Amino acid sequence: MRSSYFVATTGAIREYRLWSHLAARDLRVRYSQTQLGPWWSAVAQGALICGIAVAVALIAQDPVRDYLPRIAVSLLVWTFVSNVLLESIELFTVERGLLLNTRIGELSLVIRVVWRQVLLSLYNLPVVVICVLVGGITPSPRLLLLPLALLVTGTGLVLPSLVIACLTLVRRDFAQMIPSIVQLLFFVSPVMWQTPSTGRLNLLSDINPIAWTLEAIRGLVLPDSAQSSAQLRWLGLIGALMLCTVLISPITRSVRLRV
Amino acid sequence: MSVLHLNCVTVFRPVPGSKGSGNSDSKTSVIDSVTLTIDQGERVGILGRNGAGKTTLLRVLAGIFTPSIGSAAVDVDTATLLDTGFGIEPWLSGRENAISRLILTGVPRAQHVEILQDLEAFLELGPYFNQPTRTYSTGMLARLVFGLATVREHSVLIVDEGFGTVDDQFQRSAWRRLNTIIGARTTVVMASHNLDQLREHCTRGIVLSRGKVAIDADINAAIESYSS
Repeated sequence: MRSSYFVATTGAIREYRLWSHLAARDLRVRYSQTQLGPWWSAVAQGALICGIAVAVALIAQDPVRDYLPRIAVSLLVWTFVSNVLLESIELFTVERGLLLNTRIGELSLVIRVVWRQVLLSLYNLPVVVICVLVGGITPSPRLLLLPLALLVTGTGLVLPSLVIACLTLVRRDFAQMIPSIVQLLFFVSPVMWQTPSTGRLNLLSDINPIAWTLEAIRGLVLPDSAQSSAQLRWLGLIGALMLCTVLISPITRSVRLRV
Repeated sequence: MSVLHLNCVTVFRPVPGSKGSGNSDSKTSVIDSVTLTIDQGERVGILGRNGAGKTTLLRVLAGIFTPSIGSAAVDVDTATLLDTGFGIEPWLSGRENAISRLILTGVPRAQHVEILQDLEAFLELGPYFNQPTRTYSTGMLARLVFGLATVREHSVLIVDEGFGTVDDQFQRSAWRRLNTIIGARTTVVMASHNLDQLREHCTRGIVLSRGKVAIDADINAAIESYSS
């Protein structure tokens, strides 16, 4: 954010050793002196998938295994997205020490958060694969695309995370609002429910980028899943994000002086 | 040859509007139109009252803060001793923290083993070096932080407030180590309220007042003027 986003981006790419090291170190710190280490994340993910699949199956009075694959993939993506958004709140305040003592770029700190969640999601992947197999879906090479899909999703989350980190630095009110917004997004996104082809829920999915992501990833790795083909809305989203990023540029230039 | 050059540098700090006052955010200049050149091998002491802008000036010289107005030409190979508590993870051992710092400061992996051996010998932490740093005393932490900041020779060393948080014995040992990594061509810029320390280690003095350079002279003249 020194002089332009191009400089910031190239700087962040050059600093890949820093953010990848910091992300891996974060996981070591978070799970230090625990018996399972980052596999605790997989345990929690497995429990959540089973719990929600059982609840949905009971409500619909269908076999649990019918729901396992879809809910497993959906929760993997949702956990990834929501964790990145939530961990971006007050990111620059939390990383004050690094910002005031090193030249590390602000964008590198945002990418560190995304990369940390990519690494954590890799531990969750075996649980998802097990759920897909238990759900009766024949193993397909398409499952191998899941890490790649997460990587693409993570790239798309860099700008929203930067916006959140900047907004919460300038106004702490946003730090109170964003967790509620993320929680609300969970209910309006087709994580537990399937997008109907018509009606209000369909309209809700049409304007929700997380719904598009969920649909796209489910369509990629699961057979018989609806897949969105509306590239125009993706372009619209990218445009909106870039506009947001330009609007917050005065903030990004003064992050170090604000922390 | 100059290694650090500031050209009419001004740094604005955003000031949030106070709650309920109806005032919107404003900004205030912490450093105001500072122009200075520091040559290779110079030892510069920065003096000034609290809030004069010493630490901000050091951060601009270290390339951490970008000037709001003006330009700063800084050296890539700069070591900083600014915030003694920075970057230490309490759940990681001294050794793990050291490796992390080496990666963060861009030290090639091939040099890690040698540097870690040297560091371990200097720190004299014994088995504590492999223990989580949350078990360290304040003095041990300060020793680790100082040791990490001085693992190798740099072109420029920037020090804020000396090492006031640790005991006299460690200060002596710290200065011995500092002198070993300060080569003849190393540029040192240090801000301190300890005038004896500045007189001992610096040759040039810059007095800051409300973000402006009030005096830029020989260290003795600068201290005399600052004290009066």
